Amino acid sequence: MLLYCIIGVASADRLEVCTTTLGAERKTMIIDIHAHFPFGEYSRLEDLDIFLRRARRFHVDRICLSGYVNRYGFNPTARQVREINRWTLQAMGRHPEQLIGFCFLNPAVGADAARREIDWAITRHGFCGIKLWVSVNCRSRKLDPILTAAAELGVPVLHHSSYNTLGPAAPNESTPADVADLARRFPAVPLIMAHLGHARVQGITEIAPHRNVLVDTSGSQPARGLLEEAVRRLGARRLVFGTDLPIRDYASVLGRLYDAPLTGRQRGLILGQNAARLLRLEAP
Amino acid sequence: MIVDVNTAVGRWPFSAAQSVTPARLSALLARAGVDLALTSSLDAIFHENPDEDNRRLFRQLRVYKRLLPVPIINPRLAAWRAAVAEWAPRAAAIKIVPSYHAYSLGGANVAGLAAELARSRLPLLVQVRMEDERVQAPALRVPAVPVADVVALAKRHPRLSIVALGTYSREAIYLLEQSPRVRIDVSFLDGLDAVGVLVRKHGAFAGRLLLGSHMPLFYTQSALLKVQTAEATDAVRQAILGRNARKMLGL
Repeated sequence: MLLYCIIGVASADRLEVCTTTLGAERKTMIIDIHAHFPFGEYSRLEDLDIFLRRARRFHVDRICLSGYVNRYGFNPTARQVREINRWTLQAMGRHPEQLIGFCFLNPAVGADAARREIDWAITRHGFCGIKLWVSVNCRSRKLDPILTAAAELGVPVLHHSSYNTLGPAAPNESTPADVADLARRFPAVPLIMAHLGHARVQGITEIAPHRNVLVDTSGSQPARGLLEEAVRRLGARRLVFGTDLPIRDYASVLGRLYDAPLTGRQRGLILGQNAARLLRLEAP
Repeated sequence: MIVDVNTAVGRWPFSAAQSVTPARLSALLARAGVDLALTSSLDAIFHENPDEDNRRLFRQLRVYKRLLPVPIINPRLAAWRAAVAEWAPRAAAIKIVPSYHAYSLGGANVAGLAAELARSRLPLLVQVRMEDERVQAPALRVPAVPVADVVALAKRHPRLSIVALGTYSREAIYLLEQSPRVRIDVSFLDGLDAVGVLVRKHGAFAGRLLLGSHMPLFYTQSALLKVQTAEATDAVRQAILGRNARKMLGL
């Protein structure tokens, strides 16, 4: 097995060096578990081409879209949630081979409305996961029907999480400790805690006992040492590559994976094998 | 030639990463393909008087041709002129860390330092931030240097070469628009193809972007990939990777 070796080469195009010297990990598809479209200035369907061009540049095979989560503030109505998921569906329709939908939900809209949305998105339109943001803190029992549905359908739940020294970004924002509580209540549901960069070591240790929680590699800046620490404490099977595109870029997040002293097997798991397992995708 | 204008040796106490010695930094940069790096001491950020840290830095880096020592000066100290006199003849640039040494860029001593460096034609590296403020240790919060203060400093000293290290993209755009001579590094630039977007929207900025990795706090590859994969011409990428820095440093 080759290491993901970028070492010793002063190429003008280092990325090509990275990807052509891959071993086991290159044989797997690379999946970005955490991206948003439309988002901000990238609002037209044609803007997807920019995302996909960027993904190709980094040899990213699949992108999971979590929707334009902040389009209507922290507490969107059921109608607004549907509109956000419709945009995701439109994007999936345009590039079905590359894009995977995650059904964005606001637990505050109620169990029935949430279930209708899950049925529409996952059962009817093939979304592969559920995305929860900051509408409701994940200690709330309002999440229970959603997690029950996730268990029933066998789909993962990607949940926003952060420790923010400046204070929560939203009144109901969940922390890693909150995600750990959710994981304890629903041990059979695979949870993806977003933002390793914001979880920091404290957050990693809080989710560590809950083996149904994985963490994505997005969040903050490419702080050296954190990824290695997460692998050491959680094991490589509990990390998934995610960027939070377009807020962050592949350069920043893949740079962490290329530079960290990991084995080829560990990189392969994080880049795509773990996500493929969660999403039940076939290897290419 | 690839030039990294933002590196340091030592240990960042809030980082999960281990301490980086000059030997280790030089080896890591060599493996990443970086030919030359401006290097400071992390210890100097935490000491009110960084003289001894600068002395150690110059002594330790003597055998590492890849690493050019950049002393950190604290202009709050009465002896800052002596420090500049000691280091300026041997330094590629001077760095200041206003947030950590607790002063504003508007003070008389900073004005004196700026005038001195303009006369010596030495670049002044202003460390705008060391960390994302959102992930700082809760009891040890250090605010960023307001970029408006950098703009004001540049206006007061039009002949001084200033590099703002650690700006976010929105701050970088503001700085580059407001100050025609200020340069920035790419270490904290964020968003989809941040470097490419900056260059495409503001082509004139390309000559003022510098590769800066913020190693050892950040992974070197993240900064390199931002530039190497930017949707820009090869000439622009090469300029950001090294040519702009070489021009600034007179190399």
